[in-house]
Amino acid sequence: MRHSLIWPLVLIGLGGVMLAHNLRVDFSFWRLLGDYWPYVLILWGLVRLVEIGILAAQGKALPRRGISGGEWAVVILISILASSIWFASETRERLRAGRINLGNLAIFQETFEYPLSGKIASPVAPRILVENRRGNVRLVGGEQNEVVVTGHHSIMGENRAVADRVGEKMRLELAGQGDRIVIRTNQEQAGGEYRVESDIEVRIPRGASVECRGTRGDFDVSQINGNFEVISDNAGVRGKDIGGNVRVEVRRSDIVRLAQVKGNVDVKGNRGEDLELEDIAGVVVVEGQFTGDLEFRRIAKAMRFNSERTNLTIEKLEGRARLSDGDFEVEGLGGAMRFSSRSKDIRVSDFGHPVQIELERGDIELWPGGAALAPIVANTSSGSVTLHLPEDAKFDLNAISRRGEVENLYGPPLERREENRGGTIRGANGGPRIALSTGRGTVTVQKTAGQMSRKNEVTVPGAAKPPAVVER
Amino acid sequence: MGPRREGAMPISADLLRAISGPVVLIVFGTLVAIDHGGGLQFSRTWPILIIVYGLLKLAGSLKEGARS
Repeated sequence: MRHSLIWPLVLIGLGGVMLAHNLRVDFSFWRLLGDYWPYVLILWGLVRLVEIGILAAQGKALPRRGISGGEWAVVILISILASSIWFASETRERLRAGRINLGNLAIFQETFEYPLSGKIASPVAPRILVENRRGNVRLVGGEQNEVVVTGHHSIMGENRAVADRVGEKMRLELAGQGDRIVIRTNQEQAGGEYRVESDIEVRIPRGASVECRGTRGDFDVSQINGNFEVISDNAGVRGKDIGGNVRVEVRRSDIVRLAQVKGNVDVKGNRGEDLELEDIAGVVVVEGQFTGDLEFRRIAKAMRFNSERTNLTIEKLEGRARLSDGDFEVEGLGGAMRFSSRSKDIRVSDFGHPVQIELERGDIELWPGGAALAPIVANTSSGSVTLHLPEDAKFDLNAISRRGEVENLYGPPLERREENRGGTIRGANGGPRIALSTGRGTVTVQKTAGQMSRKNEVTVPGAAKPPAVVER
Repeated sequence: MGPRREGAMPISADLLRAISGPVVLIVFGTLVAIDHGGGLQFSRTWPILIIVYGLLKLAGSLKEGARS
């Protein structure tokens, strides 16, 4: 069919998916193709059916073949390529899960569990080292003066005799020397031939400090007065009620969640997903690529987040901040904030401290709290800038759109002027300096106390309030 | 071969021939999607493709037979 919609649609879809592949680190073109190629074929067939239906309804000549020989060749090519990707992905998942069956030869087919237990006397404030290559570890502080380990090894083998032999080699090791206590599950002794995991729960004295080492598995630590450190290739990390500093260094992680930490927090994630930090009394430093959501709540001292594309520093956070793939929202700043990113839509609300924002692309919306403003610098190369000012605010404002509209909905003392392809809004009444600019986009200044809603429309009397950061 | 003009054959037979490819493609995609979704495996359901194609050919032949 000469005028078929299929090829334009294929090109648009292919271009869109490849663009997403290039722009988003968590988006994989190959994974998408492997998962959804059957639906592409269904859609292809449906579009072609509709086209033929239209031709038939119009009484026009119908193609002899609804799908040409060349198209069938493409269908076969897609099927082979995508099913290979899908098969490889499934096989990898099965290998991870320890179940793969090649004809009559069953490899890692069954999982056998062996209980683990041990205890050792402990000083009041021990330094505990946990080495568990694969599996989950949970440590809970309490009032006892001993370290008690319970849990189990999971061994995957052809039969129980094989698993028994492997299990014999993996003895739980509990050793104390001075104030140092070492807990090892010794999975290395099993050799690399068999897949083994150890899930353990450890009761420790509350005064303990904990260091965890592993390759794959989660670490969950709570109710300790000392430090908490995790170094792992791939781990979910959870810490709650920690009296000392926390240091997390993971190459991959699905979640890092830390709450009620009295010391400093240092997180390095090479390729993490979600991060949640709440009620942190010390300094927070987060570095790395996180593809999920980052949430910060009540950080008493300075916090810093650095990734390849985004840098954020906040002197103090009384409210909360949420950083996701396309947005950054923060409310309740307790100190100055600096933020720079390549592409984000930003909303900052309820703040009375200096704010500096530099964006390459994205919209900026600012809702300062109260009449006492602080200096604001907000620049975006492409996107709108909207400032909601209290009615009785004092400021020295200079807003520029180099290419776009400027809207003065605040009124005097601000004055709007059109210049070339853009415009300015300027005005001062003795307050701090506010500088807003966009290279391409609209700049708007409006009142919060009064009648303005977020859509710049007159609504019922009463102070407009900034929208709250969305709870997850 | 190029497209046939209206009147060379009854429109319903032309239509059946034209839609047989897209219908087979849709059925193929659906069977694979069911397989990926954890349902019946394609290695067991593929004969449905032959049945569907056979039904379409049969319907086309009956239409042509009715014309002659």
